Amino acid sequence: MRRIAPLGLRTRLIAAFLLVAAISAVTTAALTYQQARNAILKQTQDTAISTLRDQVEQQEIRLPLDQAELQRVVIELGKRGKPHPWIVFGEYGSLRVSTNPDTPTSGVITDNLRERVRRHDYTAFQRVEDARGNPWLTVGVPAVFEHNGFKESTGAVFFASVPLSAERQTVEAMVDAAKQGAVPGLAIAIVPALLAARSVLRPVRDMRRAAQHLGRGRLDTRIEVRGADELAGLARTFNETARALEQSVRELQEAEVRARRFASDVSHELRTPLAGMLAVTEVLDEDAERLDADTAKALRLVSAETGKLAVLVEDLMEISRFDARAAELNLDDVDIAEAVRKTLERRHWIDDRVVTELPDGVRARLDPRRFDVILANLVGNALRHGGAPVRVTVRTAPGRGGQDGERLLIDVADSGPGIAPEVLPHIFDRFFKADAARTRSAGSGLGLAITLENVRLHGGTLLAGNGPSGGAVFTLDMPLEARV
Amino acid sequence: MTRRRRSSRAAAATAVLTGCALLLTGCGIKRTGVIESGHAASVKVPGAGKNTVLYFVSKEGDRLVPTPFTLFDGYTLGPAALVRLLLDGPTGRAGEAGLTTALPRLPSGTADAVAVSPYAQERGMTVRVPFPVGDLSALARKQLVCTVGVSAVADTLSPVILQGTDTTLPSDECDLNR
Amino acid sequence: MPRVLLIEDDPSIREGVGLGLRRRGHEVSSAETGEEGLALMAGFRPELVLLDLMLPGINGVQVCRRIRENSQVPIIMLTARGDDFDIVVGLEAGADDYIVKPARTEVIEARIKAVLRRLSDPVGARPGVEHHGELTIDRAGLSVAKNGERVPLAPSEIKLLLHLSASPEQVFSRQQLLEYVWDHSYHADARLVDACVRRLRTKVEDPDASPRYIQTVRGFGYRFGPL
Repeated sequence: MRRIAPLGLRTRLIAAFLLVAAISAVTTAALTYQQARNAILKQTQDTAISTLRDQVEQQEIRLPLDQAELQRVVIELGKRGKPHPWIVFGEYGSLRVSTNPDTPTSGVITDNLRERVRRHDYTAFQRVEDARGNPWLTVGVPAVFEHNGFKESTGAVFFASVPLSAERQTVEAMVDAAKQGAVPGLAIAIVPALLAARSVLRPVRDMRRAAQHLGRGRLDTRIEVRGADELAGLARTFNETARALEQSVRELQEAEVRARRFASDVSHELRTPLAGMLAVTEVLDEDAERLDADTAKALRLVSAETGKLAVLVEDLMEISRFDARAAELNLDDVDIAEAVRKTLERRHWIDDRVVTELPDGVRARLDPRRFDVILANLVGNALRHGGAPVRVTVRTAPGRGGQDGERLLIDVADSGPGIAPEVLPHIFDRFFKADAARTRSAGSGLGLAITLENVRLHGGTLLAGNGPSGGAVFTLDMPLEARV
Repeated sequence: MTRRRRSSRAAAATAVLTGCALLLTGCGIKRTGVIESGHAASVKVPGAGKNTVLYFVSKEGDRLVPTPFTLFDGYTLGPAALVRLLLDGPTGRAGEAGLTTALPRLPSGTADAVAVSPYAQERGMTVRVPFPVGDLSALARKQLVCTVGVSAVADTLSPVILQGTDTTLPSDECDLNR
Repeated sequence: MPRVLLIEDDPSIREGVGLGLRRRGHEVSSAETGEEGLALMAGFRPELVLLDLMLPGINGVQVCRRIRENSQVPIIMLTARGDDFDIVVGLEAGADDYIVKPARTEVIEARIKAVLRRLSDPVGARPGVEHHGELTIDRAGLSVAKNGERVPLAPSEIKLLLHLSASPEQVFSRQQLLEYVWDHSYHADARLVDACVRRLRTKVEDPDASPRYIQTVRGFGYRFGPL
C-alpha cells in the first residue's frame, strides 16, 4: 500500500473539518437545487399542460376535420401559450398543421410521444433537447368528445412545444449561486476549523511537552486535567502513569541508595577490625618461622588473606565514594612524563616489560594520586591479563570542537591475545572476570571499574579495544587541565 | 489498523464521489421519457349525440375514428343506408383527412343485399352483408359493429350480429376505448 | 627507639598497632580517649604521637590543637581514606603527616621514621646559621628565629623551610617536596604540602602582606624568596 506522507495533526484536523463542511454544503446544495429545479420544471409543465388542455377544451370542432378547420384550431391555440409562447401542432388523420406554416411537423416531438398520445386518450408530456441542445417541453393532448355518454376519441391530437430556455437560465443561475456561495463558505469554515484544531491540539501540545519533560527525567511532571473528554482521560492516564513511574523510580533509587549505603557501611565496619589485624600480620609472619609447619602455614595464610582483604575493602570503599559522588579531585600541576615514570618506578616496572613513549615538557593539571591509580591499574592489568611488553604512549591532542582545552591521550597496549569481543562490553564491570577459570585474580576485581571512575572524575573517557597487532589497547582521553 | 484506515479512507472517498455525482447529475434540465399527465381534452363537437357517426380507420390503421355527419333536422337514416355509406369508404372531408377503411368495397350491384334487422331489446340487430365476414379483421368488424350499434338507434348502444356470405359472427358490442 | 603515644579508641587497632610497634622496638603508650592522651603527654613525654582523628569525647583535631599549644612533637594522624575534610582540618591543626587505615606496621613505622628523620643537607656543609631577611635559620640547631625571636615550628614545617631555603629561588613542585620532605611517593597527597605551607606562612610571614619567604609559583609549586 502506498504510504501517504504523514501530515500534521493540525492539517489533518482542518482537512477533515473542511471535508465534512464541503460534503454537507455540497449535499445540501445539491438536494436543495434538485428540489428547486424540479419545482420550477413542474410548475412550467403543469402550467403548460393544463393551459393546453383548457385551451383545447374550449374549442369546438367539426368532425371530420379538414385542413382549414384544423388550422383554425391550431392558430387559436397558438395564441394562448402559457407560461411561454409555444408552437402548437395539430394532427388529424394525415393532416399536419402548426402555428408556423413553414413547419407543419415538429422537430422536437418524438414519435414515442405522438404514438402514446394518439393511441391512448391521455395527455402526456416529454422533455427533450433539440439538435442544438436547447431544452424543450413537448405536450400532447388528444381531443375527445362526448358521444352517447362516452368519451370518444375525435382522432385529433394537439401538441405544444414550449422552449425551456428561461427555466434553464434560472437553474443555471441557481448552480452559479451555489458555486459562488460554496467557496466563501468553505473559506469561512476554515476559521472554526482552526479554532477547533487549536482547542484539540492545545492539550495534545501540553501532553507532548509534559512527555518531553518526563523523558528528561522530571518525573514530577503532571498535566492539568481540563474537562471530561477523551483528551482529559488521556491526561489523567498520563498523570497516573507519571505518578507510577515516579514512584517506581523513587523506589528503585531508594533501593539503590540502600544497597550502596549497605556496601559502604559493610566496608566501613570491616575496616576497623582489618586495621587491627593488618597491624599484626607482621608479627604473625615473623613468628611463623618458629612454629611447627602447619601452624606456620595457617598463620601465613591468614596474614596473606588479611592483606588481600584490606585491599578489597579499600577498593570497595573507593567505589562507594564514587557511587555516593563523594570522591574529590585534589588537583595539582604535574609533569606527565615524570608522573608516568614515577608510577612505573614505584611498582618496579622499570625493566623492558613496559616500554614508554613520553613527550617532554607536557604539564597537566590532575589528581596525582588518582592518576597513579589509573595508570597503575591499566599497566598492571595489561601485564597480568595481556602480556609483556606493555607499551605506554602519551600524547596530547587539540580539544574537540575547539571548546574543550587540550586533551591528554594515553594508550596502554599489551602484547597479549587481546580482549574477546563478547568480553569487551563488560570489561569495566565490577567484579568482572574475563578469565572464567581464574576465579580470584590478583586484584580485587574492582580495578578497572575504579580506573574508569577515576577517569570520569577527571572529565575523561576510557575506551577498551584491540590493537591492529592483536593486543588489548586501553585509550585514556582526558582534559589536560581537569576541573573540579 | 491498516485495513481500518483503508476502509475509512474508502468511505470518505465514496462520500466525496457521491457528493460530486449528486452535483453533476443535478445540473441542467434533463430529458425525460414520455410521461402521462392526466385526461384528454374534451372538445365540443356540434350536434354530438344527435349525429350519425360512421366509424372509419385512422391513417395509421390501428383505431377507429368517428366521422359524424349531420342530416337535416327531422331526417333519419335507416341502418341499412348507414351500412352502405360505411361500406362506401371515407369520402369528402374524411377522405381528405386521410382516413381509411378496413372493410371491403361493396361489389357493384349488391347494394341491396345489405340488410339490417330491426332493433330488438335482447338480440340487438343483425347486419347482413354480401361478403364473407369470417376473414374480416377485428377493426373491420368493429367498424360495422360500432357504426350500426351506436348510430342506428338513438341513445342506445345496441349489440350487433354480423351475418356474411360465409358465416354469422357472434353478437358483439361497440367498445371504442377499450 | 622513639617513644610513641598512640591515641586510638578502637581496641583492636590500639592493640594491633601497639603490638606491631612494640615488636619493632618502640616504646608505646596507648590512650583510649583524647583526654587520656593529653593527660599522658606530660608524664610520658612522647617523641611522636599517633592520633586517631575519630575519637569519642574531644576529637582528634582538637587533641592535635591542644598538643600544638605547647609542644612541637611530631604528630601523625590515623585516618580512613575518604575522610578528606578531616584530613585537611587535621593538617591545618598542626599534624605533620597522616596514615590511611588499615595499614601494615611496616608502613606505619616507615612514616614514623620519615617524620623523625633529620633532613640531610642537599647542598652540603654550610655555616650553621643563615640569615634570610628577618629570618634566622639555624640548620644545625634546627631552629628558626624571626627578628631574633624563636619561632616554634613543627617538624614538617621546619623541614620544609630548611629544604626550600637551602636553594633559594629554586622552584620545587609539590611532588618533589612530598618526596624530599615527607618521604612520600611522588603521587601522594599534595594537600600535605599546601597545609604545611599555610601553617609555615602564618608563623614566619607578615600577616598583612603577600608571602615573601614561601612564594607560590602558579602551576609549578613553591620556592624560597626572592627576598
